[in-house]
Amino acid sequence: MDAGRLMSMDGWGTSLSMRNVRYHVEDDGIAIITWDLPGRATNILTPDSMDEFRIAIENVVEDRGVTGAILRSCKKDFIVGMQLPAAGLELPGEGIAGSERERIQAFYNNALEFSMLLRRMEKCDKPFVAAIYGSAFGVGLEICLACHYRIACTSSEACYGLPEAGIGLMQSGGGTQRLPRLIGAGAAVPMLLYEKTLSQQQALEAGILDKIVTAEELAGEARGWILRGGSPVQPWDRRSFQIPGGGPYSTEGGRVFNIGNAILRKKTYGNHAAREYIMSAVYEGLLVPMDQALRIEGRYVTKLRLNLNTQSVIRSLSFPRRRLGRYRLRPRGSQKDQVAEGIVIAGRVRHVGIEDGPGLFTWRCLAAYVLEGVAVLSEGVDPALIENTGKMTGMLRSPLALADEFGLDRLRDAIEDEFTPTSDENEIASLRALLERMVCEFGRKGTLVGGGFYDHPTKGKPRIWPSLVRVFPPQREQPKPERLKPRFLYIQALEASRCLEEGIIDDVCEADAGAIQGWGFPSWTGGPFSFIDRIGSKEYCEACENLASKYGRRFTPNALLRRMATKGSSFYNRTGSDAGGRSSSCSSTRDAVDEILFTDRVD
Amino acid sequence: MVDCFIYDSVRSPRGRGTKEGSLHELTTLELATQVLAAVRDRNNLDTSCIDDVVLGVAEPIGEAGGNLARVAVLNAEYDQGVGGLQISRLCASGLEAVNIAVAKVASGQAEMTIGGGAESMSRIGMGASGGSWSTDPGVALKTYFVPIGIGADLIATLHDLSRNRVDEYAVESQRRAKAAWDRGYFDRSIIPVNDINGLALLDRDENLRPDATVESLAHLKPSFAGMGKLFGFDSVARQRYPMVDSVNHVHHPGNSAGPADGAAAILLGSKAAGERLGLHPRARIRAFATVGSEPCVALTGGAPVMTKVLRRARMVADDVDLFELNETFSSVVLLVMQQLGIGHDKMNVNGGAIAMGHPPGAGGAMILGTVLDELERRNLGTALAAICGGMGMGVATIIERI
Repeated sequence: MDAGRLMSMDGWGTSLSMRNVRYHVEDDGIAIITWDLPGRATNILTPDSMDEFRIAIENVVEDRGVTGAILRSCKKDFIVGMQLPAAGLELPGEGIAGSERERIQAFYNNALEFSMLLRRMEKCDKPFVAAIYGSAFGVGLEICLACHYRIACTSSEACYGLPEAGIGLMQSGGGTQRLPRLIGAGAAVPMLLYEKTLSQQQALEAGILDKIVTAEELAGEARGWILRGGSPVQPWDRRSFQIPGGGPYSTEGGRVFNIGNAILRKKTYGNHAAREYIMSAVYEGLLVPMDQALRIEGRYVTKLRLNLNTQSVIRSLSFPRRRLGRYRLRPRGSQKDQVAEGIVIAGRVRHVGIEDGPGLFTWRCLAAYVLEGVAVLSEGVDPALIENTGKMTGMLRSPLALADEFGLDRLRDAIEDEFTPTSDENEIASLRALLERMVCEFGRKGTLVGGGFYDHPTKGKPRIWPSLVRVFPPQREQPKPERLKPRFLYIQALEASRCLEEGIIDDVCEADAGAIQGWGFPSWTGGPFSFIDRIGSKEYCEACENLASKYGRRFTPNALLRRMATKGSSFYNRTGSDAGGRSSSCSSTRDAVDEILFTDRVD
Repeated sequence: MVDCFIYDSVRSPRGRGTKEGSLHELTTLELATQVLAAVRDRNNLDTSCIDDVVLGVAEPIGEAGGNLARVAVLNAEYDQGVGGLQISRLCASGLEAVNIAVAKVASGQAEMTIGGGAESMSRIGMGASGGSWSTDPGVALKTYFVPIGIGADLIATLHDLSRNRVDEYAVESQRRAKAAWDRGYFDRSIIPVNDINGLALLDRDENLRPDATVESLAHLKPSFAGMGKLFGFDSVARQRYPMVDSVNHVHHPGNSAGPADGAAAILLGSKAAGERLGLHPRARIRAFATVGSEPCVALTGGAPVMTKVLRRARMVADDVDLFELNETFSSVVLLVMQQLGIGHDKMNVNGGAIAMGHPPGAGGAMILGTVLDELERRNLGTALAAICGGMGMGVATIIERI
């Protein structure tokens, strides 16, 4: 920073040579801040670029000769996000000495750092213009929102969004506060929580952009706005400010939350910390002035970072989808529609045949879940409870509905060979008997033929086959969801660890990501291996043994898990699982597994 | 009648009730939630034993509206069988809420209850919930409505309380509050208010100005002179009190209770219920009372309600070891001391709302807890807590240690 100041005092021609963010002041006193990260196709926020951006802003604030500033980018797009380490992938507590409270305080201060920089920018009484070339995402759009005027250069492809929640993060640069104050909470919530992006025209209509001009006009328009006396005061810093559509206790604003909270639960089954925190930050933030609102955002960002699952969630959700082809349930018959790639099996599985085939990772784990659902049904649990509980674990689909997609006849045939190596005859027999009755006695083979556990009407939504409760009458005493949930999750993660032991997969990082993005394993866990790690291999083994004694030997932990439990080891390298950890802890998974399994055997 | 005992008392520190106050970020719900959680955790309480939670909220609207008590019960993750009741008796809400919670136990219709209150003046200002008294011409004219500060000034005028006298009282309140804080007299009841990550937002009353002197207060402009003159309120007051020539506006922010954010909760119950839960009773509720008095001057309910509650307890003022009367304005307390012959050495011995601020929904419960702590510290027997509210109302409670 000192270097920056010294150079700016260097008289006119004030320009700073920085690596990522260029700064220079034109003759008319307007500072041009240009984002241009070397050697990258896109601009992102990194620790270095953030430092340089700070220096640039401080120069604008302190240099009396500067009358305003224009932010721009030299890339195809504006700024499209942040480097994940800066987003807080390091393990909580790492590198921070002191008490628990000091550690949390340090996190909080850190979470506020960038947000406060943007606040200083918007409150410094000099106008800032965002001259937006291309798209702006995440922190890039948050920087634009903190500017007093936003002009975009005409583009049919450019879009704008704050998609942090999609990878288990939340906005941390004031986005949860500025966006609803700019476009209203009702329009902001889909963007903040559900990754909705806007086209240029939509952004203009919503009020995120003030103007769209051609590439040639962009610089002139930005400069012109400042020279014409553009106001350096944000709407929300004016006394007369009112939230568009009203605050949470207005009639219209109330609906955003009354209905939005229900939609949030509908979509997440209470399993998405980031979205819940964003919703709370928007609600609480809109009830107070901007300075306090930004602190509230920072507190939720801190809470999310302190959440022990967050790191795994981000790791798995940000894993490049294109590398996960083998975990996908492929669209029936066509290779080309790999777009089903989206994480969207949820909506699609109905139209998707499962062709990974028996024996593969995805098939085995998902089959384990589905058959556990069937097992629970055979114990006399109400099918509605089974289905709801399945969704409540965070699984994208419920077990009996998935069973129909598999085909009940296929499931029946696969039980013995593929699914339950440790199961005893009784378990297998009772499952087979149930499926046998469905297929042979009632002619219900699944989705494709006459329905299965569900009726699948040509019109309307599938519904649980009404006769199911007559054929398999529920017991009078029904279990609580809390008792069923572990069965659904533990059996899948156990199967995943068997696959690892057998060499069907050999990279836990990829497998975790594949589980979530491919078959809809709960994203809050970070994937089956992260799930076991979080519980602890020893505790996980004990829990499995406990489940095995109650519900059947299919829960018996495999050799790998038992060895890990004895050694107290985990799938991810505990210290190395920050961003770099992806390679450091994963590339050697195979070797590590072999080491766990085979060393010490001789003694 | 069943004897009702106090088993515990907690309060938050009082945040300055402005946008700059440390508790401004926090919702009223969260304030209420944190004191309820503290009552549960400090006493290892199985909350299914609680019949009802009664919370005072003077301005029940928006986030503080609906039924804050029940929402706070749910948000604090109390057993879902616990009820919630929200009441407003304006500034006296907090003590009234405790009294209602006491009544439920004393009548034998509840075993354990919690009484208390919550208010965020910085978020929901005084008057936010509306009301017809000042607005409906029919009643406003008939009852000589004036803002409560005009009433306080009217008390000073009617009872010859000079600016110097009310300022002296205020300075002493500041001195006592500071001394009490420094010596840890509030420690037993205070719980820090935390953010969602457990970082303390506030652990000490924020309003204190211990360096205030009579000289420094002399510079402050009276708060109600302007509105009294410009808006006609002085004239309304004179018409109600024709013996007044002109209202002597003596009150200003330095000698009146600052608006504050905060919450308090008092755990109450029968002897049997306390024994079942392994709790030790700290005090018994002897009596409580409510009065209405002349609404224009509004704040003269103190002496009547204290007299009434003493009579109900078959006591006289001399039988009481410590008095706590909410310091809404200096004149309010000075008047009661004058009328009942109570020395300042027994009145508000650890300062009061002038120094520490007043969150109307919670303030009454706070002073009851404060005076109980002080009884124990001094090893004394009996205390009387009272509070005047708007429209002439007064509420009082007498407690005695076991």
